[in-house]
Amino acid sequence: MLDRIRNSLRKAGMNPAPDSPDALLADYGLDSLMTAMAILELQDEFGVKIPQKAVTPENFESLSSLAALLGSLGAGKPE
Amino acid sequence: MICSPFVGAKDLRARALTLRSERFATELCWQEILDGIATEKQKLGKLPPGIAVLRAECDAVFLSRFLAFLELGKPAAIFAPDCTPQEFQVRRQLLGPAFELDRDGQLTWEDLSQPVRHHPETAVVLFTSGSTGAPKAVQLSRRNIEANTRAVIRSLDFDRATEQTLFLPLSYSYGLLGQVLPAFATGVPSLLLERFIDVRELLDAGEARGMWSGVPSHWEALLRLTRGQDGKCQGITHVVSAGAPMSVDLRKRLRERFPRATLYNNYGLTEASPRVLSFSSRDPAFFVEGVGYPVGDFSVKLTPEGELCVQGSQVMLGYLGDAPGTAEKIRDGWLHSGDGATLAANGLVTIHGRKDELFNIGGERTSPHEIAAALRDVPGVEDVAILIEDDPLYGAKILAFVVCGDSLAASGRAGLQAALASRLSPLKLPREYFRLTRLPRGANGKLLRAELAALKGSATRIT
Repeated sequence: MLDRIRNSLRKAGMNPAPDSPDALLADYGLDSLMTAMAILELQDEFGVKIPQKAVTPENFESLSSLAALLGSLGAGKPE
Repeated sequence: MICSPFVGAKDLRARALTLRSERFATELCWQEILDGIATEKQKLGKLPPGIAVLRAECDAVFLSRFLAFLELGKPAAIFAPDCTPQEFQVRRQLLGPAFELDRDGQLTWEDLSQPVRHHPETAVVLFTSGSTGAPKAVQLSRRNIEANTRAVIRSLDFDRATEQTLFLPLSYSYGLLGQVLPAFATGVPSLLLERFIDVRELLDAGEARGMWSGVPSHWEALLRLTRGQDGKCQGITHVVSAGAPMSVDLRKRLRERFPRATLYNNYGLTEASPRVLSFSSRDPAFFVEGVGYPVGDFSVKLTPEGELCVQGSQVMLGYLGDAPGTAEKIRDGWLHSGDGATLAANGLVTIHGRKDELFNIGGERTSPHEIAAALRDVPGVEDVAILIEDDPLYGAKILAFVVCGDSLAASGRAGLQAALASRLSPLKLPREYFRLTRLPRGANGKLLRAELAALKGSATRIT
């Protein structure tokens, strides 16, 4: 799942995206504009809708926190 | 009717709106801002000498205080609220004597150790990055600011805007002087969003209306956010872009998504308060070429080297504490933009990129912008950046970084060269092509050249 998240972030413009799951995404350029693009890519990739109230600095802090968020939205669960 | 002393007793339309502080947005009611100005003036009492440091929080309190300072004729320097301590110190040192007040108007600190050195007419100080990267403190007078407000009201048809949505930072000349003040002067209700991502709330609720303003990167993101949801954004009447070049391709895509809106392309410099050129989609040339026509009372001319120079009421007083820098930038009353341009007979200006980016290849003088523009015209190319490296034989080596679809990438270097051959002379064809998913751009949409150069190693070479 981390690879898919990393890939989505790259498509959103994060070049390079971090290898470490706990690296701070803000250090890799994640600003409000890139967050908007990242949400679109993650929604497309995982087939979930990320509600606005979930768009918090904590949820978008790292690859790990994004994985947790997506998991809570049902991503990665078998059909 | 309410008269504001700000823009020479212009009447403001009073709107009986309640000031709401939503979770994500602040609706600005100009009547309450006027009341806020009066409150702020009372709080301010006796001010120390020097320049007030104002942090541009995204709220009515900051705006009321900013306007209060403007009306009192006391200079204020505007700082981004997320400025790091180091960035803050570097900028603060440029000001000379300075002080800061808390939200209640109480002094939190003052530093009067240096003699006053700002221009006596300074009303606002905004920071801009100089060509070396070190920030410069731009001094603007009330006359500068009022001239810009009038010019923008006219060129962006503010009188026809029913409302506006703002997600631009208020520490930025575009947001504060280019959008907020004209709205204040014309009474256009304004919704402030603290984060760009919160536009989703407005779009989802079908509340996207009126004038929206952003840099081209914002508009690219908005095109993606509104894909397949055309109905949700047809209330937008003014699509305003500034802060970075907007390609003709982007203008066409915006016209498709917002067929009922008027599109506006703009160019400016903080040193020009800031709006210099403007252009709307009502002009048929808008979808062909060009950046805009001079606004306000600007006169424009080109130097023999092709640099755009402007003269008029909006030209800054100078850089605070940098007389040599000011003398370099303003010569014989003309502000040197640092950008190469051409002027059409009808006054339409086309910008060709930074003057210091012009280079010679095989004896021909070229700009990266010309090469980038040719590449952007190739079907399948979404975004382009050009990097120039030294070459012992030709003087320069042209590297092209493209964001493109799979089919164009599959056509390889040969395909790209063939597509460009009709548009560029052989010397100007890029030597190498690299593919990226997106170009590195700063928050204001400007290309980050150093990061692009660093990406060369990891980008996919198109062979």
